[in-house]
Order: sequence, then structure tokens, then C-alpha cells
Amino acid sequence: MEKSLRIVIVDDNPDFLFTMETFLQRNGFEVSTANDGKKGLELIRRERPDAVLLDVMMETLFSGFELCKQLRSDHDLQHTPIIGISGMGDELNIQHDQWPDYDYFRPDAFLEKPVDKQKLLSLIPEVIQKAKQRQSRPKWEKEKEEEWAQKASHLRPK
Amino acid sequence: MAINVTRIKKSHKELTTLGQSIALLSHGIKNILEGLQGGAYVVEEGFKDGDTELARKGWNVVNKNITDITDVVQNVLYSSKNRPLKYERVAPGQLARDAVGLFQEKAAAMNIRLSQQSNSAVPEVDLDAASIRRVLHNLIWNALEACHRDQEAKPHWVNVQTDFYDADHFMFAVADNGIGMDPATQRNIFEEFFSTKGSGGTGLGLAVVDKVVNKHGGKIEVISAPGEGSTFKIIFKLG
Repeated sequence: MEKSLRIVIVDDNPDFLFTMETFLQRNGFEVSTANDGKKGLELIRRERPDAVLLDVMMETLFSGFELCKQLRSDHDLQHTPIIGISGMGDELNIQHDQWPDYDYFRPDAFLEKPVDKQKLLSLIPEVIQKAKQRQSRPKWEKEKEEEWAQKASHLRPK
Repeated sequence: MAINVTRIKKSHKELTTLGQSIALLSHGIKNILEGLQGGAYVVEEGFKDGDTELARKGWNVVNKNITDITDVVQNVLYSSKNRPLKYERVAPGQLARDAVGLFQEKAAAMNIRLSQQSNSAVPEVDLDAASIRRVLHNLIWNALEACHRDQEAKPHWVNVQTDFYDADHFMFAVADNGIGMDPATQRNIFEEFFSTKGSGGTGLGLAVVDKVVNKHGGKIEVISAPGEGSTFKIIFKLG
């Protein structure tokens, strides 16, 4: 039997964690959850999930965007597929403009709350595929990206 | 002919603010919608499997989010409507006891000790009871949240005190030993649509408190420090 995919959900809303965990488990995924970015990063380091479902606008200072950036700057975790979730699409556009390296650090896909569950199911294999492609790019390109990440590591999102 | 653009600029600014406010409000509502849909999904799955325990958990999520949306709607009404105050003779202590009573179950579930004391010598006064209930509700809820969000492992408490403030005034004091606020946060708390609660806040609670207290001719005092907790005193004239 095929090994089931492992998903980590990071969100500050306990209802979301519980209902989304139930949904994904019932669709054959292995799920772990964290209720803030810091715990999320620890969990992702430990579990090495196949994909991360991430609330990009959590209340804590260590927000979803920050977590995303940390993952992308981490040599071992930078290719982790990330699906960003938010209740505020417009706000995302604002963040986008004000963040010079947004494209590099951004999640692989975005979903709006309330999350379309069928769309989520089709999105998970998509982002995993996308991350694989990212990983298999020529070495020089990756090195260039790492160099940029290094240069940008002092920049913080708003 | 010259055109005075000041007014146009002003309305433009108001519209921008309104747009941002609605974006923030809809952010809060979307989170609640997510909870309602997610909860309903879990209930359905529970029924499908004959798993009443799972259905009950889902139902709790639905119920909690119904309470949340009711709260948002109430606060929207109180912050937008310029309703005249409907004064009635009430005992302040009774208002505080009622408000605390409504939160006892929630506080217990959050593992926070919620208590109240009222000085029975504080006489009955004329207040708009409905809007003062809303004020106490928002302050107690904030206090519980402030405890809940405090990472420090200590026993948390919220206390509501009704007492004389000075010879001519009485107060409700809502105190907690939760997360506390830095000076920058304290400067913004009464602004409409300012919130530090991420997906949990609409930024209306304290704006409503401010509005209602002002309309009563009362005043608010805030004492707070990060890591130590906050005390909100709302002070009204006796009589």
C-alpha cells in the first residue's frame, strides 16, 4: 500500500485545526497541528511533512509569513510545499507589494477562508509536484537563489 | 473658477478607511464562517459513521462560532448605530454579577479563575443597562483572551470589581494577570478596527466600550504592563 502523505497544519484558530485535521485524516492524510509559528517550525523540522497548510496571518509575532520565510531560508526545509491560508486576500496583496523578496519566500499556493475543501484536496498533489520541480532545477540556479536568500535574510516582513 | 478639494480629499480618506474597516471585519467573519462550515462538516461525518462523540465535537464548534458571530453583530450594531441611551435605575453590582455569570463556564473551560466582588454600599444609578452589559461583556472577554494568550505557566485569573472610585463616582474594574500590553498597543486599543488578536479579533470590542462610556459621560482608565496583565476601570458619576 502506498504510504500516506504527511501534512502539518499551522493556524492560531483551534476550530480550524480540529476541523481541518478531521477532514484531512478522513481523506487519507497523516496530520499534525501547531497553533503558532514557532511550534509550527519545530513540528516541521521534526516531522518533515510532505506539505504544510499555513495560516499566513496569525496573531503572534511569529506570523505565518515569518514562518514561510524561515522555511525558505532553511537549507533542509526550503523545498517544503506550502499552501498559505488567509481570511484576507486584499491584505495579502498589500503585503506582497511591501515585501521585496515576496516572490522568493511566498507560499506555493493560496487559499481563502472559508477553505474550499475539494480545491484543497486537488491543490496538495499540485504543490508537491511544483516543489519537486523547484528542487530539480539546475544547480547554479539554486545557488543563485541561496545567495539571494542570504542577502535578504536581514529583511523582515512588516 | 477654483475648486475646493479639501472636502473631496476628506471623503476620499473616509472611504479608504471604510474600505479597510470592511476588509478587517470580513476577515473576522470569514474566520467564523470557516468555523461554521468546518463544524458542520465534522457533525456530518459523525452522523455518517454513527460516531456521536465526533458529531458532538463538531456541534460544539458550530455553537461556539454562532456565539462569535452574534458577538460581532452586536458590536457592529453598538459601534455604528447612534442610538439614544435608554436610562434605567440599576444596581451596578447586579450588572457585574450577571456579566460574570455568563462567562463562568467559558472561563472554567479555559482554566481561568473568574471572580467578582461588589461593594453593596454602591447605590442604584441611572445607566443604559443594555449597553453597559455589552461593555462588561467585551472587557471580560478581552481579559479572558489576554490570559489565554499568555504563554507563561502560571495560574490565571480575571476579577471584576464594583466599588466607589471617589466620593462622587463609582467604577467597574476588570483586571487580569494575562499577557498585558506595551505602551504602543495601549495607544491604539480604542481605535475602531485595531486588533492584536489575529484571526480572533474584529477590532470593535474596545471601540464600543469607549463609545458607550463616553456617551454616559464616564471615563476609562487603563493600567497595563507586558507580562503582568491589565486593569480597565470604567468610571461613572453616582446618581
